[in-house]
Amino acid sequence: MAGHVGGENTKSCRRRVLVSTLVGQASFMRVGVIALLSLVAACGGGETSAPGGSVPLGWQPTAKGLWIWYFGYTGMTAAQAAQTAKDAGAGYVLIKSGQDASYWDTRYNAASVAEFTSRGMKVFAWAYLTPADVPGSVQAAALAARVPGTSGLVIDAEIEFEGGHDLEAQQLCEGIRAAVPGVWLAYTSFGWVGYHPTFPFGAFDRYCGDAFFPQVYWSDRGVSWSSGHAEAMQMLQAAQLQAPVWLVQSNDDTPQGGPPATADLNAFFDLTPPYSSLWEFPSSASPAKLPQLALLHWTN
Amino acid sequence: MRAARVLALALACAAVVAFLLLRRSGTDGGRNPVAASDSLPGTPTAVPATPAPAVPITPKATANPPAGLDPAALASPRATVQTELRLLEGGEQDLFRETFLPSLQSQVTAEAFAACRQRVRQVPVRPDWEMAEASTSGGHRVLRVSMFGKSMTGFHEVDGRWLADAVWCLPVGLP
Repeated sequence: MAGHVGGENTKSCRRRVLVSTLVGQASFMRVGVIALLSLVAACGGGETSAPGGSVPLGWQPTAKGLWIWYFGYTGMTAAQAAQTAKDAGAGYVLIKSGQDASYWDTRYNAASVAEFTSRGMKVFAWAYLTPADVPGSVQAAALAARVPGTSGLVIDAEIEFEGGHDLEAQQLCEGIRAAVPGVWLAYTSFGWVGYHPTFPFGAFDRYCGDAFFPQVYWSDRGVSWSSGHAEAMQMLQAAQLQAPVWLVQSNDDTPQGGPPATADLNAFFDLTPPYSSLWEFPSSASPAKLPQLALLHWTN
Repeated sequence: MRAARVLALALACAAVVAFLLLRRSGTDGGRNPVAASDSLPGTPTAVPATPAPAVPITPKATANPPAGLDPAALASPRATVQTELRLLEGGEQDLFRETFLPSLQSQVTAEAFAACRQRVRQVPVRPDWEMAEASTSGGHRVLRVSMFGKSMTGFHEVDGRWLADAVWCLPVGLP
């Protein structure tokens, strides 16, 4: 079903056989790159091959999710942020693990992840990736996915992938899957897919589609939560994407000024259980948003 | 036969590992240790070149001297960002335009300026200086930093001024 929310992807095999992929793609360059990524995975270096945490296929969170860029901007330590998220009622968090070929081991590591998992939350790594350095991004993403306690990896792919980067999207996803067998691999991008016809939604959907987190940031856009949600769902339906949809809303201020109303954020959450999430853990520069966290309808 | 296969696989793995090590040593710009100290106008940081970013543009060899801005206002990437925020707040579109690479300045239209003013009021501007990446491009020092956690913006040192290579304050992907 296109555009459905949550649940296990109905496609039987996400780890596709590379040979079958090659059949339809005669490009010698593609063959070379895919072979290279396969060999990287086979060689494996000295890294452990076991992904951390549990792979949440079919998993239903007890409460909704919260995105974290890094702890410094929150003015909190990882432990303090974890306790705040737990007290608010978040069921899972998504913490940035790196940018392109850079894996941020000082920010996303076993200790910081454990602050959340020890409090009952699941943790997903998210990395902002572009097509600029696919092999490097694969390596960095794989490192994050292997951090103990990590339940999965979410690729954040946005404007840099617009304009015909389907191949890089495929290589990125297949490379990560080859490097971390069994990894739960999802992606996040623009919330209103119909406005981005050259973004490789199809490639990400096919190769990174354990879930899709559309950024339905209705407050940033300055539309109501209901119209923003409705348009996003219509566009998802039209796009015929297959990945389970885990919607994301934002607590960024509206163009008219001021934060989105708590009632509106809750209305969005109430309509989109159990997988939806909120961008983002408030900045210390916006202290008024911190108390709002505790007022949101996290519990499913 | 089996031994030959094992040997071939081992050689392939070794070649790939060697390739990756060489590649990494040749392109890893790395994080910029001076980014947090805001001491960029000092001794140049020796960093290898990195591939050109997908979105930002490459500067011309020289920039036209800005007419109205005090060079101190662009003396470091951090100073440039602070200046840009001040100019946005003050409605100084012409001066704001001068904080960008010359080839980008035509994109700073009245509409773009208005959109930027609105955006920085919506979302706190908190560049991730800690994870900024230093490199060189076209003979210029460049510091690339994520302004909102997503895309990177490069600040290029041109004639002592650090100029942005993207209109980072424009909202991305909305709708």
